[in-house]
Amino acid sequence: MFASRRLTPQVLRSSSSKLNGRFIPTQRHANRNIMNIIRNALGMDPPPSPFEPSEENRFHPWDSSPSPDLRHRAATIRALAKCPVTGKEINFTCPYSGIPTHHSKEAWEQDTEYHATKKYEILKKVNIYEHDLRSGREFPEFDFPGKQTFESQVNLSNWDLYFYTRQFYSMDTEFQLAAVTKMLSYPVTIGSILHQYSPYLLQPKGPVALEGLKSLAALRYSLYPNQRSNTFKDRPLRLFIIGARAEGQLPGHVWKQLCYLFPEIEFELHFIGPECYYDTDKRSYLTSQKPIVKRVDESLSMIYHTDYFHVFHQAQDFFPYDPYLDSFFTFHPGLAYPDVTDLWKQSLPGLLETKCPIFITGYHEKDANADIKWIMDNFEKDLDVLVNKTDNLFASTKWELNDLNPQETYRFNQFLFGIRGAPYFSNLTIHAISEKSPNESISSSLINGEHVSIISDAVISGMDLPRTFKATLITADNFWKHFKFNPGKLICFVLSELSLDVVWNK
Amino acid sequence: MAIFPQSKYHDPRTFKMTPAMIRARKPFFWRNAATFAVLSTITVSVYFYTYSFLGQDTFDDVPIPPISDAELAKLKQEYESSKQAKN
Repeated sequence: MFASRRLTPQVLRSSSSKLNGRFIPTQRHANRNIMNIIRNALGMDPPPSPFEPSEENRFHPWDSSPSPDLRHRAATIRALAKCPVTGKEINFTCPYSGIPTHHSKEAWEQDTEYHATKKYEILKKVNIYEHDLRSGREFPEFDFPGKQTFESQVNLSNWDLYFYTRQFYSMDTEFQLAAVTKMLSYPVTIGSILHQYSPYLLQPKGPVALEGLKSLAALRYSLYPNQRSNTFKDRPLRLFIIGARAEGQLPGHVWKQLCYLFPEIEFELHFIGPECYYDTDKRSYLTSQKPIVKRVDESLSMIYHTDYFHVFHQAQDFFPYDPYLDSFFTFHPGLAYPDVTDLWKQSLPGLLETKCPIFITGYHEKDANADIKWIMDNFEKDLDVLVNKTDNLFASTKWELNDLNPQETYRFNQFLFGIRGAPYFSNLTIHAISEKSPNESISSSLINGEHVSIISDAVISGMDLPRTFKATLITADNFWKHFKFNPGKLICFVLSELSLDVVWNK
Repeated sequence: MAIFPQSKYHDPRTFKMTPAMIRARKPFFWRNAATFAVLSTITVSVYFYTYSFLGQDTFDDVPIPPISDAELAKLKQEYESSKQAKN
């Protein structure tokens, strides 16, 4: 148990007995000496063990790495990447980071940006984290906790508080954090958005737009049945993970950490994409006509749909969508990448049509910005922004690099934003068109979602109607149910409890 | 089964907080310290006030019963003799 933090894996394996899954140290008492006793009496830390991960003992240049994987990656970088200074092939390994980065020593010295921004420090982290994962040390941090104990709330402010309040293994080094957060980033990112004590606050204090709060409130209505008068439980919540790759390969107990944030709520995880199901026996991605269902336990099942989202959407496989129960997540989709952008162009209209929230993450700021730009260029009129681009508090802390450009470093799920197909006219403003104008022209303009503005003096139950006002309507169809034209100069229009008269004057 | 299981966030030997716990508590440190300062100031000032207030009392108002010199000498002798008897 705790001893493994202080003792080295090697010592543990040779000298400890395993009892009820806990390590009982026996070696430590043998090599206790007077210095240890004094140190212990003063409450000082023991000297760092030479086997504990540290920057020094995890650092190897990738070309001469003890791990064949990393030697292979170094060769890939040399074969495919280009030097940022000279544009030639890469032949020089940066002595600070141990990663091949430049054509020659001269090019490395000339790269002032590389030295000014201390890029090599991040590259060094990539190097040492990769070596740590392959070091063969014990990984006690992968022993995840179970159910949250009664009357203890989870704090979702950051990783440290999440781990502490969930009583994970005490992760004292960045190496342990890197190994665990890479896995847990996916479930906890989802959980931190949906949770009632989400760290993402409403604007202007946080990144969540008013529209986002509406969608999240609908989901929280289903996530917290005990807080409403009617505790009726509908079908399980569906979390669709579009374009799933690594997410689909995470084992059930990792996704189970999401369930522990929402006790007694049933989830269905729908992984969608041709690479969502990896068969470890056949060592290839499986495709199947039928969805592959894996049931983790009574509250969590994972369903793999091995085709693109638009295929299922057109076949109405997931119909009906319910914004109270369904939400979509795409982890670094790379919407604007030329290889996949055509596929996303087919899928995204379907996603927007569902009127359910869609949360998207990006590898780094440039990636997230490219995705947002692509969405806004193509679909700006059809969507509402739910969450403005923000740092994901539950991004993986493990730095990665792109083999095709070793200076492009990123972390999984580093940036986060959210959109949704515009389900209602969020800023409905009514334009007083001439009273003679036919109803047809108004109806078409509203169904297209075009904004119209009020110029009339109107009265809501005695109050002056402002020039622009916010109205909540469900869909374009419902809009017409509530919207009635009176012959003459009045529009009477009913919005749930609110009834208002708009006087046309022109 | 222990009622209070060994905390994962304390060193089992020194009972010091682990680095992970110190990181987790960091955002609360200064506000906790400020609260501690306020609460301890109240307590200390109450004690200080009580002590200084009571220290002003010289017990002048306590009546001492009148006693004659002869009686005093007699009492002194009794005390000395009882002291010698003990030795």
